[in-house]
Amino acid sequence: METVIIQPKRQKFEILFMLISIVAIVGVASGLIAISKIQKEESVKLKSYQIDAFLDLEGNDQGIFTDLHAAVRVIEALHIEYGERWPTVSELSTTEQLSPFVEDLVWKERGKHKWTLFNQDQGNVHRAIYVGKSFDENAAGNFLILSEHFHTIDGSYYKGVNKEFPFSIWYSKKWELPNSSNISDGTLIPSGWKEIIARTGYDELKRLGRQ
Amino acid sequence: MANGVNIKVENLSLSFGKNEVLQNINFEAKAGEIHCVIGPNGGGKTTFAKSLLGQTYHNGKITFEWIEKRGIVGYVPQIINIDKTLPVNVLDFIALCIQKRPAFLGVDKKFKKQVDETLDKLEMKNKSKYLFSELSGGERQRVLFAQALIPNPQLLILDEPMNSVDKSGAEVFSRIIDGLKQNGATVIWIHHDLEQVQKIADKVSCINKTVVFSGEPKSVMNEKNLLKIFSSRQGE
Repeated sequence: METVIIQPKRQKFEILFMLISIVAIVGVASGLIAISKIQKEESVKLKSYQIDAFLDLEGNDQGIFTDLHAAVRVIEALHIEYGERWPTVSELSTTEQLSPFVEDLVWKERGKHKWTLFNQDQGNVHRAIYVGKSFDENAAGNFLILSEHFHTIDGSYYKGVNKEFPFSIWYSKKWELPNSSNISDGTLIPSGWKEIIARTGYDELKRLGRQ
Repeated sequence: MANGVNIKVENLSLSFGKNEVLQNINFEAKAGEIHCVIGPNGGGKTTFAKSLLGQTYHNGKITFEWIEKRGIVGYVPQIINIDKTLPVNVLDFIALCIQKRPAFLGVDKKFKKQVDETLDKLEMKNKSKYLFSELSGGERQRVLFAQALIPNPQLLILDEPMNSVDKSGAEVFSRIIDGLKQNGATVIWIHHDLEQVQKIADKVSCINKTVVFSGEPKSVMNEKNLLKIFSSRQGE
């Protein structure tokens, strides 16, 4: 024989179970959010010689960078249009009226940059460096466009390593330019120049976890 | 003798807020007997059944003395509300009731044969794949009855299972319940058909908040007692 006393229904275990479940769910969710945030931050993590266009540049610098970001496409197109010749600074400012090269009111407010082109084409390697020296470093820093692409023997056209964006745009608050015949990533970085990285819409969506 | 249970209820009381539903209920049922519970609507019969199942916040003492070891308790509820769009068929529903394994994995192998046999006995085998919500009231009642029979219960608590069942269904139910009784099981049967109770019950208790009378049907179901409970002029 086995005797069993039927106990009344009790809530205390249900409440305890609910509390444990809530703590567990909140804990797991918080952990997952923290992990996913770390992963997303890493996806846009910059190297030591890079700066973020959005976070690290201010006012006028951001404006100039935005103009340059658009101008490099035009320069690329003009290079083809001019028969594989890089457009001069004068052509960019006067003929093409292209910001930030055009010397208008905004140009004055943004530090009156003096732009110089260093053409370093060598055989099938076309390489151009546009350097903008600020005359008012309180208003904006110094900028530099580094462009490089290759032409194959049969004439077909290759852009640089980064096919989507065959330019790099560099920034330095302090003016210190390496020897003009030897301007490259390797010489710019020790001189204190930083490559500006712009987040694209895709990057931004990725950062926000919507991609 | 097969396993069964002697039930002893002492001073069972239960309130829902300020509303006292059960008051000092004393009740006894023996193994191998059909003990019918009668009483007016709202008298606390269903609440009493749920107290036996440990589903209420009752006061008092309910003791089950199993003849051998602790056995299976089957329960057939009075009514079940189920959403019409719920995609649960008869077999799923039974699986939900009888096993710990998730119902979407199907009926556990160890119960499969018994489920088939039980549904066959209850003339529901050909509707085993029907959605539960598609069944008529009587058919649902048969399924509710079926789940209580698997595995074989040694205590069966029935809460007016005949309400929507037709005559042939009622006969099948009675036959199966009688079979359980013969095997020594205890049957607590909440019933509203007094004539039927007189035929099938070994003992009868009338509950109207408290136990009004209890004993063998022949001796307690007399005109005086019944009028006291069911007459519209009760209390005069």
